[in-house]
Amino acid sequence: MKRLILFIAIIISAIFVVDILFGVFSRYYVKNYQIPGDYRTIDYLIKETKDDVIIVGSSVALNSTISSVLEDSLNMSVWNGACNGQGLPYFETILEVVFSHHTPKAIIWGMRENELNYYTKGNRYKMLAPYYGFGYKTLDKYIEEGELVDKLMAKSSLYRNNTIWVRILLYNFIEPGEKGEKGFVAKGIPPYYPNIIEVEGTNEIDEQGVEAFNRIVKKCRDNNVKLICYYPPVYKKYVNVTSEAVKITEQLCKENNIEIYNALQDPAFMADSTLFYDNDHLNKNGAEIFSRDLSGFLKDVITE
Amino acid sequence: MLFNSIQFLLFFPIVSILYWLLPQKFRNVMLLVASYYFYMNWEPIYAILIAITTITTWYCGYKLEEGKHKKTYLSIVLIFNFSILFVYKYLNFVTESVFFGLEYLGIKMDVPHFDLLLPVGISFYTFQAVGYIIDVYRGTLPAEKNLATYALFVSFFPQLVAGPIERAKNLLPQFYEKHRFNGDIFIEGLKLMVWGYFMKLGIAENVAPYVDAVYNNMAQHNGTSVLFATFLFTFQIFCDFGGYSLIAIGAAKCMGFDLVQNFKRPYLARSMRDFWRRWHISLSSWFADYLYIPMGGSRCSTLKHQRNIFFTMFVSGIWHGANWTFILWGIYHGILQVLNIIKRKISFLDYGEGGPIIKVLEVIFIFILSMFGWIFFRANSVGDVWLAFEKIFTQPGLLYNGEGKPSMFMFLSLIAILMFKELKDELNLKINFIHNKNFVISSISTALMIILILLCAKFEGGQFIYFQF
Repeated sequence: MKRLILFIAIIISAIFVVDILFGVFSRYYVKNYQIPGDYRTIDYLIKETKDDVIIVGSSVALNSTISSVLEDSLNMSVWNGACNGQGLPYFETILEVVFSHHTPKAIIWGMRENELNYYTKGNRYKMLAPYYGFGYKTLDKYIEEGELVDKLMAKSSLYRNNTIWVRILLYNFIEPGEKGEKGFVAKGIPPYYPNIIEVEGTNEIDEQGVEAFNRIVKKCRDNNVKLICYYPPVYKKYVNVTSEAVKITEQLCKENNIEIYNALQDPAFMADSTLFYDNDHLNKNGAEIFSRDLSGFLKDVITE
Repeated sequence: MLFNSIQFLLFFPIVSILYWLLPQKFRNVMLLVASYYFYMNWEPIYAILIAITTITTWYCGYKLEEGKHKKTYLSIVLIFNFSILFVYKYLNFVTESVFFGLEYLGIKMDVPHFDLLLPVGISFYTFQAVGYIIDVYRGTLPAEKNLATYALFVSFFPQLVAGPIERAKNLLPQFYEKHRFNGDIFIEGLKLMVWGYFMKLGIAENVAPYVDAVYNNMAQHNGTSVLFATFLFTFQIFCDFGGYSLIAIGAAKCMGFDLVQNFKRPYLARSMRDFWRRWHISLSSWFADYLYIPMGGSRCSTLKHQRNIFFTMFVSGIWHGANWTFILWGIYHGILQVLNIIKRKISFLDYGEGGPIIKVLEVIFIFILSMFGWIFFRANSVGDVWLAFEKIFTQPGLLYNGEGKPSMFMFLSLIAILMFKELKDELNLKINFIHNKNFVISSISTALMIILILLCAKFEGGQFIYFQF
């Protein structure tokens, strides 16, 4: 019995000590160094951005919107701050963090057709975990979100940053430096172009999704930042009906006096599979064309 | 309840502490209640199915020992229990296949679909109970008189949903032994669990998104990516199932029970026969004892021997799942086993033990063969199986890098740690960390292992692949 108690005591003590030391190292690193790789865009938005226009969204925005094309057209600095696999909680958080140190002229939100359909934090949200405890209320709240056990486990720097630091460390060796072109990351040309798929029926709206949308709108309004929404094209055909989420988003935008650019079913894109990487994402050629189209729209809206 | 859930991390210490605190006579009852609670966390109603299997096989065992109408009792109980298994696991598959066949012959009918949720672990506990009843029928095991003890044998929570499939001869007597607490054995159990969690959470869960991304969207990926995803799935399936088995064996050990070893370094096998002696050992030995040997095993003509092994592998494929992909997987392994028998009969291919280079080449060759076998196992449809092979052999290209190069580097490093341990154990090298004789080194190594899990593992509560069987 004594040996078992000693065994458990050694294990708990070792984990506890490593956890504290890791927490200290993690905070020091985050405060003093640029985080590379996938995390670069987040780190840039949190610590450095002074850009006039910031793009937020998930992979559809990240891969479809070329910052430099928009810059040339708008004559403003643009940063693509979109991030793969993110959802409403992430967008809400990133705006709070950016607005805490900088007020851009506009936020451009690239949306998926089902953006308001679900309101879950998702696994990718924890990319923000290294910034836990830095005084960002929304961020801390989402990291701790869950049951009592989740709240307790969020206090452990090892658990909270699980898989993150190994990647950050490896990015220093494998893919150091700034990723993408002013945040934009191109999808290459796929080995096989996608076949068009048909989407039927309506999508249910998540009330929490609508509430989060309204909070994002309010955040921008309170900070006197212009919010513009857009849907990049997808290689899917909506049969008979447009997604309920899209209709409601358009309605919400109208009510809040927000301009929206909807290219979801743009016939020019729908007719050419070579502009896509897969059914949801444009490839680099598609992004080039779409960014030019979008910049034409933005020019009138932002500079008006 | 999943082993990789927070509930289990609370459930297990409570049950093991209660087990050691209670007097011997109450321990089995407590374990039985805990086991049913553990199972009912998924779908409470399906506990009734375990209870039915338990009662029918227990009663039949009782009757078999009386010696009258043995064959009738055995037939009834086997048909009854396999019927339950058939209805829940195979009915939809068989119906769809029959209707598809009729459609092929020009007879068009609407395919009926039965809305049945597959009870978790049904194949495992059914086989465990059936093994018991056959042993009693053969007279190699006395019938268990105590229903509660027998019910615990069928539902013992560490191995209830994904094995190891225990034999009554091994497990039942242990419920009557007076277990005295031994700290060292408890520590050994915990160490096995830690390694099991490393395999499941560190490797299987980390590689799963890559494998899923490729296999769930096969048309979008080139042959290089499909091959790499297959390589990763080879480790995913081993770490998922092997990890579960280790956690089960470790959890049982903490309470003083010895479960059978289920995996013995399968990817270091030197022949397909050797592979099946190392992979899912409890199922292989079940099939050997209750199917392969009764059919004649290897003590018959070469042709019959080949038939026996092929049929056993074919049934093993069916056991794994109601899908043609699993049946093809069984056939694939059946063919390899038959070829293995042929190879042993051809004198110029029989080079004896072979030197170290031959051994290494054999291990690599068998690894590649088993890896290609997993394509059948993982593919979502038969069409995807052929597509995977077509792509691998005709469409090379740039490797899809999934969640990024660092992620790939991380899980490949974790696989390297696993293979280092496998190799060390196989070669019997005296390098020990977790199992070091020095208590402090062993404890700190275990702590570092847990820290590695905390740093690298995925805690998203993914199901164990073998639960579906």
